[in-house]
Amino acid sequence: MRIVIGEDSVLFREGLARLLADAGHDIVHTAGTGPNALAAIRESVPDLAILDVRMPPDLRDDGARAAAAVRDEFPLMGILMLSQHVETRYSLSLIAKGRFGYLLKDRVLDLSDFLDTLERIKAGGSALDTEVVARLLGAKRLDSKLEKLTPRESDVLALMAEGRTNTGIAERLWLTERTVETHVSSILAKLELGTTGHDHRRVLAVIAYLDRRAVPLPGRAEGAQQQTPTGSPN
Amino acid sequence: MPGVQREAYTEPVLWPRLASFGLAAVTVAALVAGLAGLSRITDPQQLTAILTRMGTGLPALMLGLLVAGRRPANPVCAFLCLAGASAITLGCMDAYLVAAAASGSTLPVSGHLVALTEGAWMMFFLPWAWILLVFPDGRLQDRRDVVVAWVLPAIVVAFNVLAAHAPDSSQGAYPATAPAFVEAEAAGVAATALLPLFLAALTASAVSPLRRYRHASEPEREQLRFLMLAAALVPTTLLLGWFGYLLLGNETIVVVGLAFIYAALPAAIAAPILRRSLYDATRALIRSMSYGCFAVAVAAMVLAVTSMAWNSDDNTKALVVAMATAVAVLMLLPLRRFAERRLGQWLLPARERALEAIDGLMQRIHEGTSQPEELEAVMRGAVRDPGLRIGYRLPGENDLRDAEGCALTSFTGSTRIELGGQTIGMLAPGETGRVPEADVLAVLAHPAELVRLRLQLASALREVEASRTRLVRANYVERRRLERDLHDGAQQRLVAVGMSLRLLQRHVPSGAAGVIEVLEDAVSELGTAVAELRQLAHGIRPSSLDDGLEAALAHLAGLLPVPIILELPPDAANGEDLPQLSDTVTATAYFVASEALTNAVKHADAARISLRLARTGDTVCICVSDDGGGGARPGQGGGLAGLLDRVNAVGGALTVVSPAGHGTLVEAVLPCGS
Repeated sequence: MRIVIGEDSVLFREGLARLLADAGHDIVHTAGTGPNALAAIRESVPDLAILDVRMPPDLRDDGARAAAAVRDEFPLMGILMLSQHVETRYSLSLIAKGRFGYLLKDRVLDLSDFLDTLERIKAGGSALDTEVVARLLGAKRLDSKLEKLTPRESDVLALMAEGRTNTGIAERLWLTERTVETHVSSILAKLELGTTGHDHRRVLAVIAYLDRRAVPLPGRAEGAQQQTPTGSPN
Repeated sequence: MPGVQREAYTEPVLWPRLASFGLAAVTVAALVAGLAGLSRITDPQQLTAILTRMGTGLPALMLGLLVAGRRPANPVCAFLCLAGASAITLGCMDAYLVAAAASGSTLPVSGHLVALTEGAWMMFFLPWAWILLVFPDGRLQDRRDVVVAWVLPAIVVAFNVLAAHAPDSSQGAYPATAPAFVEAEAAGVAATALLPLFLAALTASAVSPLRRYRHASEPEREQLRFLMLAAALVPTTLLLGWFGYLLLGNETIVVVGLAFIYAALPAAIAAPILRRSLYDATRALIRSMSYGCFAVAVAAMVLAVTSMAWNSDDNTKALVVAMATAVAVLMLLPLRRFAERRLGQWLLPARERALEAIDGLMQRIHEGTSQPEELEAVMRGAVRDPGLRIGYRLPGENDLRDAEGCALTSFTGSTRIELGGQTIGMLAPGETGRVPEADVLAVLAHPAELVRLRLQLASALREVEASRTRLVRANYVERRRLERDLHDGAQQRLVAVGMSLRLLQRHVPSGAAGVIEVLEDAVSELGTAVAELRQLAHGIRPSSLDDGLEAALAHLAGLLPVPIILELPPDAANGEDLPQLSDTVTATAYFVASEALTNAVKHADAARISLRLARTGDTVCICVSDDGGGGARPGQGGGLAGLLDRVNAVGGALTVVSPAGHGTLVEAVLPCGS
């Protein structure tokens, strides 16, 4: 597919371009700043845009803002955001609209997985970095529903949140697809989510669920809720 | 009297000094002549009498010369010299005449001169009267005093002239002189009539200091009091002398009394004039005055006792006198110190007040009710000088500072405050221009040293605090740099290397499976290395801090294995509503939250842990509380102690409330914009 890369670190950008080109993709443009990347995307309209969260000139959330702009203008374009460190803020707000992925930069080294993720995103799915999911799942919840899951179901839940398909989950956990489906139903039932069917919507539901129960994040675009503590400390 | 001009006695300066030295020269000449006469006197008693008379003039002459040296503009010095010179000169004249009388006509005697000095005794009074009129600043008060000042010498001259023309003018055993002048009865009458006038003039001059006292300023009054003291001594000493003469039968005690007066009187006059440069002399004077009073009191008691034994024989009398003296001395000795203090208070009230005030201040400092810095205010009140200033000199500096540590300029006209041979400060008087006495300055040095030490301490503390803040700030900057370097440098390179290896892997010919495996391992290791670097960087300085304090705290709360109740300021979208916090403050707040939360998770065994962030216009408040076991203490070298250091270094305050069994609350309030 045709890809535009927006990344300010030359080393990483060129390395990634080489890898992707070698895998057969067409790197249409590379850019080093937020505005440049946006311009390049508008001009060449690729299939997928890979953007670093942090780019010049602001070095805060330029890539994220560019991604939001791209999503508005090109609803069908795939967006993959890369980040140097784990943060949940930018990732979760864009995932609701699909065709979106958020990975740590070093995920690139898992090359085959990375390439699969690209395909998945283009096809309409989503991808969430394992570490981010771990962050969402890791903290103990005030809500005890998660504790009802068996360890295996927790693993499946984690992989669901990462945006993998049943097939992908089955591969990773060395299970049959059938077993995975059973687990998924069980999970959805226990968490009282009740949605079935389309992978992506399922993932969204899970992520939304986990996010609601997680610590509140400032600056969220939608659905931001402050958890009201039961019994204020003052 | 108000409205009356004070007139300067005569014209300019320095004539008193000239006159003083001139008189001294005259005295020397007279002494030379007198010696010629003295050498021929054979009668020891007469000799003693004459020598005593001459001796009485010496203190006056000496002191007069001393004042002439220090205060040449003040006529008092000339008058003192005149008093001394006239006493000595007249004594020499007497000696000469006695010798001339005894030796027949071998020595030349001028009949005219003898006749003209019929009223020489007036010279014993004239200089003192003049001194009384101009004391202490050398000027006459008003027109009345001017009249008196001119009338006096006029009387003296007129009397001598008239007496020379009166019958029986030459008295004493000076033979061979026919009446030198034409004699007339009227002259004698006129001369006698001048005597009451002389007395009146003397009385007027004696009253003059009293009148001056009424309108005098405080410093002048102090000087006048010396005079009054001396004046009070004169009749007292005379009275006692006469009593002694009556009881003991010889006139020695009278002479002693007179000699005392002749020494004390000039001293009492010179001392207040020279006081500023001869403070110790004034103190010596006060001390000797007190001893004088003591002696007088002893003598009075002895006389009282002895008078009761009037009719006993000589031996008993002597015994009684001896015993009475002993008893009197023992009883009155303690009173002498009291008398000295009271004299000091009366004559030098400012000094007394100052000493008392400083003593009181030191007492209160020991009790803890006063600060040494009150010294300046205390001194101002004691010497009644609101413009008085005290400056302190810190070691190693040349500038003076006030009690708050601010530098002082324009400290002119000041005296040094010294302690242990070093100048520790300066004292500048206000409008009165009066500098406290040397012993007041010596006592003042002790509280001044206290102030100086406290200033040094405060300055050192400020430096320590500043350097601590610098250290902490440097620490944060260093951490940031390290984290940056790790991210931008090492991590990036490792990922790039990994990508290159992956690329290589894809192009290895399919037969070389071993190579692919090796490359796979290598990339896997790289991945681990990058993850570890990320952990390391996070431990040094979490990257979430770049996104603002709120984001970092949310991130932190998410990292912990237990749920944290997070309270963040509403609408805090990266702190856009409030001014941006400095890096140091953000990092400190983060560390406080991190340490406190970690402690809560590890030790508190709590059901509920909460983290609250609150911001006002100029402070940031981080508060971590839990309902666990409590009992947290900022112990030595523990995490909480480190927090205390960090928080203090940015000028904030850390509170830990952790009663055993009732949970823990850790709160840090940090000032913004540091």
